[in-house]
Amino acid sequence: MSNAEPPPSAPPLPRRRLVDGSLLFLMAFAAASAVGCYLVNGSDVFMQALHDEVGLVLRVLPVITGAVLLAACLQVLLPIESVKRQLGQDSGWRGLLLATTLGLFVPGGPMASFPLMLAVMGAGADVAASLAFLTSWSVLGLQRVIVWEIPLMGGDFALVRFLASLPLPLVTAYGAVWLLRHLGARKDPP
Amino acid sequence: MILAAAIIWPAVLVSVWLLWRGPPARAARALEAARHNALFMGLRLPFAMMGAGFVATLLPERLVGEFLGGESGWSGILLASLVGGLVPSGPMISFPLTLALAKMGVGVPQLVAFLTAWSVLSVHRLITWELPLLELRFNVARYAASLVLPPLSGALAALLIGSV
Repeated sequence: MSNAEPPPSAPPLPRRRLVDGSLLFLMAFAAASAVGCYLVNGSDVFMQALHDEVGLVLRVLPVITGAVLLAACLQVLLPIESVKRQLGQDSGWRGLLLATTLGLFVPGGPMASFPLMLAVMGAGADVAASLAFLTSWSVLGLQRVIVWEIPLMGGDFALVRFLASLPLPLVTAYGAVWLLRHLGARKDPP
Repeated sequence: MILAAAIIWPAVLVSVWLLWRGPPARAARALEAARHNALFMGLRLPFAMMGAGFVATLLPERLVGEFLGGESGWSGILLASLVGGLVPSGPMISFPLTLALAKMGVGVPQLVAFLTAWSVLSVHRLITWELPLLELRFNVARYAASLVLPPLSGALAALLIGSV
């Protein structure tokens, strides 16, 4: 596994256990909802739902395969170190915009983004910039848009939601910084 | 789907090309990450999407349409904001569920509020990730400041599609 030691500056790759609580939860969720559907709605609805779901899985499969590859590439390609320097304390407007943009491109779930977030904040990033990054990754993350939203909801819906969500990172950043100022005297990030 | 594939596969090709030209150790890390991500997703995706699809058949279609439909306006947006925060797990469940809601007649602003709430107010993510990893006052401030985001995005979506 650790044959090629990464350079010291490279952030550790997020490691997830393949079988964990989340997988067991999803299996239980699928089994319970399948039984529920069969008992409540009968076999016709059950078969129709099964048919639709297989169709959905097939619809996202070509995209999700690409997304898995892209996420892996971006995990090692994103210039985290230089971003960290740019997001330093009091990076102001530039920091906010950069953090929002970074959030757009950071792939994957919280497993990938939280360690990155901690690395960025540990390097003394501005609190507002950290908040903008986290919110941007949550609501604007392009991987989610491309993999899930466009194939399932269509490009028009994705565009409307994206545009409606553009101001949200700044709203959270300013709102939370205002709250922090009024919640206590300390200003430093965790 | 074709649009999404047309965006993602060229990006994959460019990234692979960049890795190919770069140091081999970096490419090896990417390969290891890809293998791990593929296994992780491959195990979860079928169960998540099946579950979301079956659960959708159990939702009361008439009530959903009535309370979250295109005509439900602000009350629908607020209700969608509340419900979205309670949906556990990742996009594998939430997007199929959103699709099912759309088919039941839930309006676009309500769907946008639902997805925003799921992404910024998710109780399950707060417990799994944010509380253990980030400082409490940071979490409180982030969560409190994020409470306005789902209704705000829903309202902006309503403005954008001209349904106000």
